[in-house]
Amino acid sequence: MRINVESVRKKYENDLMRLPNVTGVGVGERDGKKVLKVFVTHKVPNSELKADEMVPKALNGYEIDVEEIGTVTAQRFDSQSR
Amino acid sequence: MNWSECMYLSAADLASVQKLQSLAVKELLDPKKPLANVIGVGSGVKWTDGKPTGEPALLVLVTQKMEEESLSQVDIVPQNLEGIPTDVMAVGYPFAGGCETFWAQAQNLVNRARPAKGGYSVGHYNITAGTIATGVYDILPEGSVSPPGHGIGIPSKYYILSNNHVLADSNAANLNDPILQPGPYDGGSDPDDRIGILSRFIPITFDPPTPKDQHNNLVDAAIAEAQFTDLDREIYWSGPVRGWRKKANVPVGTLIKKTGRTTNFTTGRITAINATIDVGYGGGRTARFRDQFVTTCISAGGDSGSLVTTLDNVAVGLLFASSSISTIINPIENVRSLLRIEVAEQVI
Repeated sequence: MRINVESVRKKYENDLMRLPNVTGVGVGERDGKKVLKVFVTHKVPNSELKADEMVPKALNGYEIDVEEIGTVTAQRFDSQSR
Repeated sequence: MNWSECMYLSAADLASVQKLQSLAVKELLDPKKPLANVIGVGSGVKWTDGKPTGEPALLVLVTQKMEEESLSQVDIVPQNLEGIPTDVMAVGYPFAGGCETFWAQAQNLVNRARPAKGGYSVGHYNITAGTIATGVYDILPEGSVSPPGHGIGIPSKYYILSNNHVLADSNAANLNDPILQPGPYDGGSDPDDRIGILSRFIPITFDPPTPKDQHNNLVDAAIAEAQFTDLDREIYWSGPVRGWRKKANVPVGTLIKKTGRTTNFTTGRITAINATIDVGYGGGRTARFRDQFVTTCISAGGDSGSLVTTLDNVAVGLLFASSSISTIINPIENVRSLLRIEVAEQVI
């Protein structure tokens, strides 16, 4: 039986979070199928990354969606950014 | 013909509409005699009763649609131009940039209110301002966390629920510190606007000093004790919270809403669950949170602490962070079990 997406996330989360620009990992859906989501501050062309810095296309049969999320910050009012 | 065929135009049809477009720009977007609400024109397909007809049409983009009776004769968009039908399409007010760049300016949630509802400004005396989620109370005798069960009885205290970084100044506060409504940035001062005192918060682990892979942050949450009569646990604009939902029953795609101090009432959709995400807290500090919901952007600075519910008022989470693209939410189940508080009387 295929292992569930949550176990796959747990197993690879720390490795994924160590990659450059990666700021989050989660579980999402695409076309009704469970996928792993990898959140990055910004996308970088593969040509600018070393082989061991790239987010894999899939893990244990679950496809990976790389999503640009920007910089996530806690959200109390910040008068300087307005 | 099926739907997808009806949504596209042949090259000949497209050319015929586009030829008309310069005439339409002259007719409909003339700065000397502007039509009410019209902000653009385009080429496309006529839609009727929510379905594409396949017929070429001139699209007239408006900020909002109006009934013909409420418009003066000169402001009515003609049914057709040179034999090509028009289709009026509402697009609102477009703004450059992400969802953080615009929010309503006329705000009353930054004002003082007693009783204060969910959605109003609140804050520890040392911070700027955040949002009240709702009114809560301690889990009652016979109540339990796992499996979740509701007790019965008489709560001894009532609290405001919001974030640690709103009510406890990101761990820097002391218990019993004054909590102001509205928050200090919105003019709240102590003691005049003191609504409560800090009662409990879940400490956040930060990097520095703790390396991120050792973090186990689940919630950014705190409560402040307040007078029962100073709190109205309804959410401004949405009403009473009917219950709360376990995180396992909140799938990707769930539609959600919140009311908050800065962007008022907003709606969105959950795009990821079980997310681990690094969140900046200023001053170079980052905290890694596990088990989060990621949603489309529904917030801006000052909305921290907003209660996030389904469209039919079932609590699912506590809003605490965002980028210009997404908002991050703590599942309410974790907030409940860690703070040991009830936001509503049933699990739905």
